[in-house]
Amino acid sequence: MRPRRVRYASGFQKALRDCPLELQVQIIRAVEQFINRTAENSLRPERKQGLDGIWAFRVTSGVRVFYRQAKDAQGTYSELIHVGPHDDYRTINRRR
Amino acid sequence: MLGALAISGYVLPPPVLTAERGARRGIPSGDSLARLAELAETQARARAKLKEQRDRFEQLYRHAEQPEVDPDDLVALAQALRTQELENAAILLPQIEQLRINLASPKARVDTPAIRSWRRLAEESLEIAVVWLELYQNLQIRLFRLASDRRSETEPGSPVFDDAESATEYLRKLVAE
Repeated sequence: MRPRRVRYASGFQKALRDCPLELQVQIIRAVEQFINRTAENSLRPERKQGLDGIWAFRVTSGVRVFYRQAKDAQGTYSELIHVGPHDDYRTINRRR
Repeated sequence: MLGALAISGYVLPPPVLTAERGARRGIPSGDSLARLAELAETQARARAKLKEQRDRFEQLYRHAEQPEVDPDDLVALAQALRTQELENAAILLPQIEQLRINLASPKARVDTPAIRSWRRLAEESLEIAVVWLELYQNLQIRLFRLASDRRSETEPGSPVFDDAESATEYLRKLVAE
């Protein structure tokens, strides 16, 4: 399967630099899996409800990367705009 | 500098989960019409409060969109909202959990008009509580997106990568700087 094309917006780069080292390693691994589409079940890329054109994938149960789709002359790519804490309140209690 | 102070005028205390209050007193049996009417009334107030909170967050976002607000202030605002979200979650999550337990109990599946009404109220209460917390999350994401767009005016970000190796190499160098 063709890898996803990605670009890192400056907001994502700043948020990544502000993360603790251990989390940075997890984020970079998740980005690699996202590009290669090798862990779709754990990353669970999904469109965020109520947010125009924003998508997210999981790094850990409480951390998400947020991105949007963009286009250039070569086609579509995912522009990563932020990474940070995010809880899923629709499932959080069912996990307990 | 925006932050906790800036959001204080835009946040409401979390709604009372009416069906949860009812559940604490026991799932209704028989014709508890007066009690159900009271719960429905409180639920209507919770719905109105949810709408008011949504409107207030729209106002806050419109203020944040002003060109003089810089990206660091937008991030500080989003972080203050996250703190507030967690405070709200600490109040709402135990109630959500109790509601889900009550809704899953055998008594909640008894097919009487009173129980059916209570179940509808309980399900709507759950939805109000979850949407309430999601309002906080969605505003944070919008602010982070706005901050990223503002930052891009002076810091252009990365090129587009076509493969994982060069994309992750770029990130490893970035965090090592």
